[in-house]
Amino acid sequence: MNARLTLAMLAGLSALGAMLPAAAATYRIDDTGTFASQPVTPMRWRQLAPGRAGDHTVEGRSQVQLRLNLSQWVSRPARIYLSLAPTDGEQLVATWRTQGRLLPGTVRGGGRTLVFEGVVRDSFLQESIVIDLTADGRKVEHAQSLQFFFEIEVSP
Amino acid sequence: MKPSPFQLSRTARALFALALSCSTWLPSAHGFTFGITPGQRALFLQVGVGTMSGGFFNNGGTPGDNSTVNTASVTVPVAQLGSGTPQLMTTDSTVTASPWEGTAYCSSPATTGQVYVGGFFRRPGQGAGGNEAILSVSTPAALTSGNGDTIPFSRIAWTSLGIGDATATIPPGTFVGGGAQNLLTVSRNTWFESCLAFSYLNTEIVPAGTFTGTATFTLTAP
Repeated sequence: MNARLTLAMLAGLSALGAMLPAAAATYRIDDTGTFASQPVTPMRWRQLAPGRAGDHTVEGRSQVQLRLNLSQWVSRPARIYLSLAPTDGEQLVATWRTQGRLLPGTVRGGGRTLVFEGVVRDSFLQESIVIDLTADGRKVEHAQSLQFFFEIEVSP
Repeated sequence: MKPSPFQLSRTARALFALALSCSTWLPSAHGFTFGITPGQRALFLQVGVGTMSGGFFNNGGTPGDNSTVNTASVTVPVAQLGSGTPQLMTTDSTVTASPWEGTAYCSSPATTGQVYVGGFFRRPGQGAGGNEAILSVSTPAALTSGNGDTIPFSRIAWTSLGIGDATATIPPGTFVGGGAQNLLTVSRNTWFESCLAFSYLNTEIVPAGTFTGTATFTLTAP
């Protein structure tokens, strides 16, 4: 029975391997020159009063000018993800709008979301995004720093 | 060969090269950060009439200070003096709507005597400490008349009601007189409201006169 289980697991792993792109490599993207419009975003209660329904959402907004250095991957097919490092305590949600060079999307602390898929055309990708943040205000007790970064996946 | 006026010494050349390299070198970055700060603390209490501008709380309205002191009063009929039959007090408060969303909450204050009392306590976090605010009321020992006669404040009681409430949020009670008494514990990030209708208990015969006293409601947060 153990041998049969092992064989079944091996078969499952082989099938999983066949679905993944062959040895795609992931790199952090150099985003030197990227900056947020304001260094600190105050989170505000969506409802000043808790009310009977008990809406405890806090929200904030920041605009970010992006400059991604893609010079190493020009003319190569790639996927680019925007990641948010795990946040302190509460699973904060970041939703962004773009000017069209990257895809809009949503990411939670500790996750990543696809923002580009295709062939890299230029050495530098510049984009302006507006990030809307929401969280349960009861769980955001202290000031904290949100860390965003971009990753690129390319096939060899 | 005559040295050029622009010729630099070896040390100067080294410094110049260093300065040049420093001016063009930028550290590469692999991510961007920005900070967030928690939502602000807030405390709100309305007793009787209040001030809201721009709507109600649920649609972005903003509360303002309102220094009005409403009254609750009753004139005891001669035939009822000291009968022990409570005498319902009426009020000059006209508030029927909840400042949360404006729906009718207190019934006809002019006839029922209901005085609106409501508020909230906002505070980020849910850790230990600072979890609760306290609604209290303080009164002098007695109501007094112009002649110096008195009626203990403990001769005034209240019932508590609100349209749609299954149970009263602020419990019914009686003023203790001569100090503060707690009425309600308000948990962090909660809303509360009740309509209080006051009655003079009318348990004793007192000299004729107009007796007045002030009850002061306070919401305190840690």
